[in-house]
Amino acid sequence: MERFGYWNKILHVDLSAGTTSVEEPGDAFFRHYGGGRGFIGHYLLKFVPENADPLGPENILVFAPGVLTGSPVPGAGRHSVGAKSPLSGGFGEAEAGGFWGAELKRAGWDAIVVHGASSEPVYLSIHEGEVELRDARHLWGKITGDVEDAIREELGDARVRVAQIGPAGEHLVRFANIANDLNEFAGRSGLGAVMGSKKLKAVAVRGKTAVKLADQPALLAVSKWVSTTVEQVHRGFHEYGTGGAMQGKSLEGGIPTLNYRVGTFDETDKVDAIAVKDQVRIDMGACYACSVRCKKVVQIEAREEDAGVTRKGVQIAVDPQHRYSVDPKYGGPEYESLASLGPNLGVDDIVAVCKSNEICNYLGMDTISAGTTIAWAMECYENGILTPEDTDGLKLKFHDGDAVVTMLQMIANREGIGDLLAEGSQRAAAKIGLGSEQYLTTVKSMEMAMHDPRHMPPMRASYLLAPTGGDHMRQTGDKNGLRNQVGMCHFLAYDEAQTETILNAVTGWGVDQAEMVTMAHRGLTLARLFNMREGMTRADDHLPRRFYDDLPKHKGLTDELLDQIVTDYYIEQGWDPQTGRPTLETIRALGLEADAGQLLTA
Amino acid sequence: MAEAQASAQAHVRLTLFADLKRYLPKDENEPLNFHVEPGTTVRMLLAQAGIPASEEITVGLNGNQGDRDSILKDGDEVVLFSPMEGG
Repeated sequence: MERFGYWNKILHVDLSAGTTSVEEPGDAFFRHYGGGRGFIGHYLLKFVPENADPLGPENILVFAPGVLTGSPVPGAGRHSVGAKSPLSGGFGEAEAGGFWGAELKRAGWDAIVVHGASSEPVYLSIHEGEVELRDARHLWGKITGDVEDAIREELGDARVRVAQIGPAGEHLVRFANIANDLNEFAGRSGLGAVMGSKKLKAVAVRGKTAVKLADQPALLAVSKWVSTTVEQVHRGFHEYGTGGAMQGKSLEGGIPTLNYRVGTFDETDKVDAIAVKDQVRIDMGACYACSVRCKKVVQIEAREEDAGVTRKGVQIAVDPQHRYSVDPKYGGPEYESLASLGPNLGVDDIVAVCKSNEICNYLGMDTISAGTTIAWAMECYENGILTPEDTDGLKLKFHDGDAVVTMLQMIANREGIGDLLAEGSQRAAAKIGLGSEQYLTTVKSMEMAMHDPRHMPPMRASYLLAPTGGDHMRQTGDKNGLRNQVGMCHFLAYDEAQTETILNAVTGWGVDQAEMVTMAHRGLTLARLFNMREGMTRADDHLPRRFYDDLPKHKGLTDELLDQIVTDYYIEQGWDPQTGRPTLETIRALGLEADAGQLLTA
Repeated sequence: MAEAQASAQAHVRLTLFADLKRYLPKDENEPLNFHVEPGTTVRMLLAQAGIPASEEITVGLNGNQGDRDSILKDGDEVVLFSPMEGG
C-alpha cells in the first residue's frame, strides 16, 4: 500500500542505555491517533508507570508531529511535545511552530519517544535515517543561540534544525520550555524540565526527503487560497501577529492587570502589538510553508551607535535609557508574552517587556508561567508576605520592568528567591503559605494565560477543562483538539470543509467530518484517562478563587455557572456526567480499550 | 420622507479585533459604520456585517460587556473580540 503523509517510523531513544530502536506501528495506528496529542496520550499510558516522578527517568518525552506536519500547506509547520508534566503532575503537552517538526518529517521520522535519562549531557543528532547520541557536556550551561551555532558548526551543516533546552531546563525550572529554531517554543507544561532531567540538551535534525502527498493539486489549491487572500482573511495576524486587540481589551475592562485584579491598564498602548510594530519591530517571520507571516521580530540596541537601519531599511530602535539590547534572532513577544510581562505586572516599558521576552527565550522559560509567577510574587511582596529579606533586597514591585528582568534571570538560574519561584506559583504558595494561595491564578498547578474568563466566556471551558491545566487555546474543542493531533496551526482560518480537504489531500484516507470529530475526542479522552490515572478528579476542573471576584466591568464567576460548563462538557465527550471518567461505551467507541488498560475495569 | 426614515435609524460603529478583521470589507478600516432600524440586536448587526452566527466572540458594548441579544441604539460602539489571540 502506498503511504501518504507519514513514514510509519517512530524513533525510540533509551538514554539510560544509550541505544535507539525503530517502531513501525502500521498504517492503522496513524489514522487512529493522527499524531500530536494522540501519540503523546498513547505513549504516556503505555510507558510511564503510575505515579512516576515527572523529573525521574521513568517519565518519557515525546516529540510528536502530526500527519499533516511538513506537508506544503500553510499551518502545517506545527509539532507537539509531551510528557508527564512537572507542573501539573498530569498530562503535559505543548505545541510549537517553526521548521523543526517539518524537518523531522523530512528526515523520515513520524515521532521520537525518549526514554530513561543520561548520566552526562548529550544531544541527539538525526540526519535522515542516521541517528547518533553525541556528547553535549560542552553545550551544558549555554544559552540557546550559542548552542544552535555550536551544533551547526560541529555537524558542518548550517541548515540543521535544533530543538533544545536553555539553562532553565537544565536547572529543572518547572515551567522551562523547549525552543526550536530559537524563536518557537513548546512553551507550556514544563517540558523543558523533563528534557533537562534526562540530560538531553538538544535534538538536531536534518532531512531532505519530502513526505508523499495523496493529492498535490488539491493541497496546492488550498495554499494558493491562503496566499492570495492573506491581506483579507488573515489580515489581523498578518499586520500585527497577536496582541493587536489589547487596547480594546483594556477599554472593555478585560485585560489581565496587576495579577488579574484589574481589567484596565491605562498604558496598554505603550506595550501592545501596535506599539511593537511602530517602535521596535524590524520584520515579520513565518513558519514552514506559511504565507501568513504572523511572527514578530524585534531588535533594540542599548547604544545609539549600534543601531542604524536593517538590510530591509528599517530603523533599529534604541533603548531611551540605554539599558538593554534585544537580539532579533530570538523573535519577538506574542500576545501572551506582551500581556504577562506587561500589563499583568503593571509594566508599561516596551523595552523591558521585549528584554524580558528575549531572556525567557534564550534561557528557555515559558513566558506565561514566568510572568504569572512573578505577578503572584509581586502581590505577595505588596502584602508583606515576601519581604526584601526574602528577595536579597530586590524590590519586587509592580510597574518595575527592571525588577522583572532581574527576577527572570534569578528564576532560570535558581538564584536566591528565584529557586522558590522556579517551582511555579502554586508550589511556591504551598511552601510559604501565609495566605499567599489567595493570589494564585493556576488551574491544575499551571498558570492561566492572559485571557480573563470573566471577560471572555469562550475561555471558561478552556481553562477549566484543558487536560494540561490553565490553557487558553481551546484545545478542548473538536476543531482545535483535532489540530493539536494532526499538526495544524490554530490561527489558519480554514473551515471544517477545508480542513477535511487538507487531511485527505495529504493522507488519501477519505476521512469525513464525523471521523475528524472522533479523532479529536480520542485525543481528549486519552489525555483524560492519563490525568485520572494520575489521581485527578472533577475537583481539579475548577478555577481559582480570584475569578469569583468581580472586576470593575465584569461579574465574578460562580460555582453554579462553572459546574454547569464542566458537566455539559463531560456529557459532550461521553464521560460520566458526575465524575468525568470516560465511560466504557465511550472508550470502546473510540477504540481505546488497550490504552485504557486497567482503567477500563477500575 | 427619506430624511425622516434616516433619522429614525440608529448609527452604530463596529470594531473588529484580531482574527475577526477577516470580516472587514476589502481595503476598509475600522470602525465600520452602520445605520440600523430601531430594535436591531447585536445578533442582527453581526449578520449584516457577514459574521457567521457560529463564530465564537466576546461582545463589548460602549465599554461594557454586551451580548448578541443587546438592542442597539443611536451612537452605540460595538467591539468584537476573538479568543484567537494566543501565541
